[in-house]
Amino acid sequence: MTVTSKGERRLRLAMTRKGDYYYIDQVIAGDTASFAPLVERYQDMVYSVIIKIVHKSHLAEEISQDVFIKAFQSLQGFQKKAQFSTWLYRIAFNAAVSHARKAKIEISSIDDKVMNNFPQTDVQDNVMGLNEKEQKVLIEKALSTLNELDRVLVELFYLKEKSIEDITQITNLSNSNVKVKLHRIRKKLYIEMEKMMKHELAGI
Amino acid sequence: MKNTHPYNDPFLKGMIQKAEEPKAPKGFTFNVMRAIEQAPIPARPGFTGKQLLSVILLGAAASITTVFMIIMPELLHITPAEGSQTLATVLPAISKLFSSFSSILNNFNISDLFGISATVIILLVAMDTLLRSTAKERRKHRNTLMML
Repeated sequence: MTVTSKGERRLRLAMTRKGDYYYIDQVIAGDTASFAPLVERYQDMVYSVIIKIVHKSHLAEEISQDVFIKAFQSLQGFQKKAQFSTWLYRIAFNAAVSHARKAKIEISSIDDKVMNNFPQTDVQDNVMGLNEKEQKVLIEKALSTLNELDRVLVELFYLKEKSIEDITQITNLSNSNVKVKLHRIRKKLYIEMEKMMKHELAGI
Repeated sequence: MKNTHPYNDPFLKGMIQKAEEPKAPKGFTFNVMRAIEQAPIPARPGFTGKQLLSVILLGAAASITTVFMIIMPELLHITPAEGSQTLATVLPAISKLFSSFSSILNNFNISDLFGISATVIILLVAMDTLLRSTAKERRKHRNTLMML
């Protein structure tokens, strides 16, 4: 199959009309080209999770490609009980973690020290006083202080709006562990934003 | 802003959605599809341990049945007997076969139990090897077809 720009446009148009399962059935029936809309639909999502763990763009691209090849080859084993995106996230997360282990990259999360008092209301009030661009810079800087696993959790929960149950399936963490981590991430982001607003606001 | 859970924060969600997300490089889909077309589909795993055992046992049962029902009567020139005469003809033949087998073993000073066990093991190993080589050939053939 040759994927031309015209072909890609057609695929994009088709994607808006067909659900994941339609393409999955087509691929299982032997139509390899039907996998392209699924790649198109989920490439950013997969790449985004992987780069948060492996950090290097060329590695993230390579692993993302492997993830899609693996997904294609294992598609017959995909049970439609779960969402395709959750299944794919799980493959992507495992691939990234496995690479990180081989490369001896430590996948850490916020340590267990309790952050009881966090300046939620103050930060929210101050952030409301910033313009859109300043808010964007502030949150990007705060997110960059998070560890690998926490960034993935933020992406899954806040950006992709995955349920706690889906996140437990993807990451293999327990339900309560995911909740505790999300709670700590939330506190940490407020603390980081407060620190930045105190010391760096003038520079934004 | 009110939170539904201590881990959920709508304010943060709004903020996080403003952050720029990394995107897959251009031409990613094309590269993946090209790689998929070039990569041979991996051979499905062969028999699992349980399946292999079942196949071997079934094979052994089929072989024994074949030996007793077809090959033995042929060798011993037993004509197919009708009705109740069948058993009367086949059973003595079977018993004759076992006694010949036993006498062969005795000539070599081997106990019956050991002889039977050894024969069964040899038959099973032979059948296993045969099955494995057939499966391997089939897998090779399929991979070659995929490459083409």
